[in-house]
Amino acid sequence: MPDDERAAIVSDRQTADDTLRAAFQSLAESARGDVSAADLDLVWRAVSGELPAAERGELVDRTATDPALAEAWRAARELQHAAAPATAAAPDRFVPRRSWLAAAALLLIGVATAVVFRLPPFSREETFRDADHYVVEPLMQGDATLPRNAFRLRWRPGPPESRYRVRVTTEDLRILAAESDLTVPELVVDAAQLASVAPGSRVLWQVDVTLPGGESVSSQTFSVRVQ
Amino acid sequence: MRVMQIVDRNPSGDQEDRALASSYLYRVAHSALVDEIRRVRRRRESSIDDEGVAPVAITRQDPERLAASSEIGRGILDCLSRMSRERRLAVTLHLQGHSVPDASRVLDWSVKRTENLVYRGLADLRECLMTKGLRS
Repeated sequence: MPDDERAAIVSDRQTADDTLRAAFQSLAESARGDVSAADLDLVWRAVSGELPAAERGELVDRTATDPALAEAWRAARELQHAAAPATAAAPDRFVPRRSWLAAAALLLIGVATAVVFRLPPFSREETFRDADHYVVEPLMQGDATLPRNAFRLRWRPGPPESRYRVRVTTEDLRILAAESDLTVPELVVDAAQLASVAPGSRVLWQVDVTLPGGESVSSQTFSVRVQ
Repeated sequence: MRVMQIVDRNPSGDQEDRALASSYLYRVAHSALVDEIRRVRRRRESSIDDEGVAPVAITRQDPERLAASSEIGRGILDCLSRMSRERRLAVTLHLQGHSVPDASRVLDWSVKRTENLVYRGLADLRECLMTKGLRS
């Protein structure tokens, strides 16, 4: 086959592929359902390589018929690519590509495009589950207001001997408290640590649990207001 | 800049803690990005509804082409649902913009196997679309 002809066929095939991709991806434009926080977490873990291969496959299968989920996947991938230049090591492995520089760049892009960081109110249906079905749930109402002199964050305990890491930040991601290796499912944030938070402002918190078997479970990001 | 501040202010900034914070921030960024995409889309739709006019400025594609793309998109969904699972996974990642090596890493398959499944899956997809009277 002459080179010109072969090039034309390749070009046609490429154009056809682009058309298919565009059509598939455009379905998100008319997708009605939201992606749950639990699914967003799954997507992120899948794209960053934290999810086992079998579960990645299951999630990919769902993206085949769920345009909103497929869009969330592409967004996660974009973030991964943005992180790639600063962590070019180990390009042949499917591993999380993380760097603080890239994260900073991402958030700067967010600021530049006037992305307002807003967290959806907590919903009991939106909980993250691990393989053993332990769910990290807060033991308080979504978007509750806690007094700053008794600011106690509590969540459903894991199995005995679980260890907890908790991070509490402002909405603009300034860390207020970070504790690790907790043996009880609660964290009391000192009033002094909340001094910079205006009354009525919302803070975000997330729990990472290490189960007795060594497996990790992450919660979704919860929010609570400071009185 | 906030991210850098988090690193600076991290009260127990050991390696493990930084990894945890990194993971947390990426998740937050991902969640915020998806929220924002949908918020912008809803606002755009709402704006169109309010004004009761055609979406003149939202796209550079003409309406006929958009409609055709949408029809092909719906056809793709249907065809994917009828495809064998392995081919569906391979083709879905291809449509999502993954290269073959990328898709092979995601699915934990060999590159050769992934390539074959993408190739055959795309052939299935085109044939299925043809039976629906759709051409890509």
